[in-house]
Amino acid sequence: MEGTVSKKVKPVALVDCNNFYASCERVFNPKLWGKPIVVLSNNDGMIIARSNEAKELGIKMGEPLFKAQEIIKKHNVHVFSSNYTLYGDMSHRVMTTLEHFSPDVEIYSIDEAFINLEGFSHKDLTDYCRLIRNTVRKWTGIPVSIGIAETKTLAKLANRFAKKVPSNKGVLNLYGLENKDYYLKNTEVADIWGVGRQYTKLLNLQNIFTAYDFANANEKWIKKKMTVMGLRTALELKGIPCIEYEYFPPAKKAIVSSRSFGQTVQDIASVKEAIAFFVTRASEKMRAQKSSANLLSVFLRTNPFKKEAQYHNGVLIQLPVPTDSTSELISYAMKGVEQIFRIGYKYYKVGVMLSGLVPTNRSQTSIFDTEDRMKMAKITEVVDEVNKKMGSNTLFYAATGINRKWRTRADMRTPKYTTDWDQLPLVSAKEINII
Amino acid sequence: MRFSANLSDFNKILQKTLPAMPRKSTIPVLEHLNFSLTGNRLRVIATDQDITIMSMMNVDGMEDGNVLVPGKRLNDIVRALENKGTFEFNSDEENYEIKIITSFGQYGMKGLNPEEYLDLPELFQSEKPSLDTETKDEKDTTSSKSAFFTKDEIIRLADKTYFAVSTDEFRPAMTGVLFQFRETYVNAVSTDSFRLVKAVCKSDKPNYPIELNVILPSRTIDLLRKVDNDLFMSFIENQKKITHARFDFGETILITRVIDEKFPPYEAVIPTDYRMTVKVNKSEFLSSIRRVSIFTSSISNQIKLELENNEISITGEDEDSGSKAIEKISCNYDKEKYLIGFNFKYLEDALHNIDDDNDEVVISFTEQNRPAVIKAKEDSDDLLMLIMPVRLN
Repeated sequence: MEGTVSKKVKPVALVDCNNFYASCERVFNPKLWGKPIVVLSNNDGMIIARSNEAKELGIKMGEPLFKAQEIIKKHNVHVFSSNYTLYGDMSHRVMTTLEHFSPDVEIYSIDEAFINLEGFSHKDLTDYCRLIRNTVRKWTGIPVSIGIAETKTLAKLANRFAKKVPSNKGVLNLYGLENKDYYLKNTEVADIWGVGRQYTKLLNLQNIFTAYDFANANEKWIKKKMTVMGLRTALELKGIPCIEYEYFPPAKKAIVSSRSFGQTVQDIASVKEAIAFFVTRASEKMRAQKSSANLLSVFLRTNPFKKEAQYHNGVLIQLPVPTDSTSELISYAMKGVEQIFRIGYKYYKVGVMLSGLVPTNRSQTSIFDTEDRMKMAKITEVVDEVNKKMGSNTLFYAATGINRKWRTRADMRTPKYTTDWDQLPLVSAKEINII
Repeated sequence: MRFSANLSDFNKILQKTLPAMPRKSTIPVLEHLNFSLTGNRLRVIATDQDITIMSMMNVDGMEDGNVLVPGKRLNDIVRALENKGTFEFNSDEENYEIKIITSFGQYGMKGLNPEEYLDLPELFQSEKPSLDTETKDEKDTTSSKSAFFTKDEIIRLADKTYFAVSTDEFRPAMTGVLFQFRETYVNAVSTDSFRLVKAVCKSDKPNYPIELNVILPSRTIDLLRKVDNDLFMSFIENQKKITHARFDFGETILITRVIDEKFPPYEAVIPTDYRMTVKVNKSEFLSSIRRVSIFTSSISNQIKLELENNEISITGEDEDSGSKAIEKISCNYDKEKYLIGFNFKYLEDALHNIDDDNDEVVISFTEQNRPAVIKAKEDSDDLLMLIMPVRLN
């Protein structure tokens, strides 16, 4: 064995929001509790989230909406366009609640967080996590499941049982349990955190089907075939912590902003508008992590599922100086569009990618740079500040258009209940006589 | 075609020509060396269409002929024979079967018909200039577009500028070295927009074209770093426009396509209004940078220089991993505190490449966001290195 437990291993919990997107929709519409719900991808194309009731009806993840229409109609399934503003804010509320229970919370995704429970060992961890669960439910309306164990990978595994086995009532504590064989034997390798589709195939070929098989497989073989990352996963299943906490998420190496259009467009003006819009979004995200881009990619494509003339192309632009300025990036992106746009096609999807990201405050200056970067930085700062205070798009670049006919379709989107004064839910009360 | 030759000499001609032969080409014929034998003179040509090299050597010729030889396999066997003794080269003119006969054994390979090779007559139409009796001072090249460089001069110009050439294909002008001929001197300039190098070669007499700018690709510059002879440089024109540069040295001719782009106006960015100039010991400075750089962020490669009280503090820090290092070296600066950041790799490159007769360099600074200039001596203009700073927090 490559590693052994050298000191007392600390407990870690994984908190996972149950059917998060569907749960967010239910918080503001309690009539939906117990009803089947699906949430759709951008442009209402595919099903990307399902409530348990929808899962039981046989609706599959990633299924195109039109394929599931029959079941949806027959069982009166509630369908929603995705409302990322709402989900993002609800996620923030859940994570903030978790921070009341431990100083060390690692936000792993929009609906998952690891909690370092070091220092809470004197408490009954199961009871403590039930308190967390109940509080999150009470304060945010979102149901969560919690798995507790010695390692992140085991906590993930425990969480699965917490969620799937009703008798666990949403919390399963494997921390300190000597023999975890039952749980390992009843977890397929595909369900192990860190084991993807290709590794599952590889492991199955070696007769490794369960987490138990994997944890007991030859470590040298695992390292050779699955790199040190695979070996870490195997050791974590044995209760040896190998994966550190990441309390500050590492800065992204590339930022993509792209959408398919609500309706196809054929003119360069609309494509330019959309590209400018996506540059704006991507550069906002980039500035939020205090990075500047060295490279800008612009791409466009027609709808490959339609029987019509097909075209797709992209261009990679090396920027002379790393920049985070929206206006500068837009001007380069426009040149990129002119280079790859072809008349006569119905464009369905366009996007941009910012890469070669470097910290803005440590970026290399260039000999032949003629831009007044201080001035540009000030303009960008003001735009960001106004939009933060007054709402997104209060100040926007004219290049991003006004009518935006290409805008993504979201016919069944619920209001931004928590982030827009005009869309707050209305609560009414009427007097009733109590006899 | 049949000849015998000394393996050691033959290996030399291969090493001279092979750099122009592409290892993998969309045109398979280019992966061959073009051999032709007339009497006792063997001529070998290789080209990747951008660079063409022709080299000649004396052999014991037995039968004249012409054949295209697979370059990689030939090179592999010649190297494996370890330059020991002589060999016989034999190819038949009908099916181009090649045989190499040595004291170890016989090796066969399939050659190609030389008529399949690219037509290169326009590149070699001018006569090869004879350099046997020439010296730099005797040669008068002012009337034509040509120049003479001693081996040391051309190697110096190429060596000093090569490292700063840009690899960014989006700005092709910067992927080469600008040669600015000005009658009595030549400036060789390279930049990747983050640093710039200007190396100067001077002559007491008007030895160079009066006014001529040409950009040579970085691969050519790399080859010029390894020339083994004095060199005569001339140009090939098409409709009064220079398309190729030609270098004759020893028994070799190297012809390269020039980069037909406008080099950025670099003169304007070299500062003249220095705020301060400091002298530092080069070896000491380099060693400090090498140690401190171990602790810098691999994304920005930033080190900070803080000048104060006749010292330079060199700081490297990586906030993400929590590593930090600081060293101090002495310098002649006692004015107000001055802080500037650099990519340590650029600073290292510049210091490595500066001429250092007395292990001392002179660094001149202007403002925090403007370039610093490194020279061997304050009043020297033979070699100038310019580096742009990295923004500080």
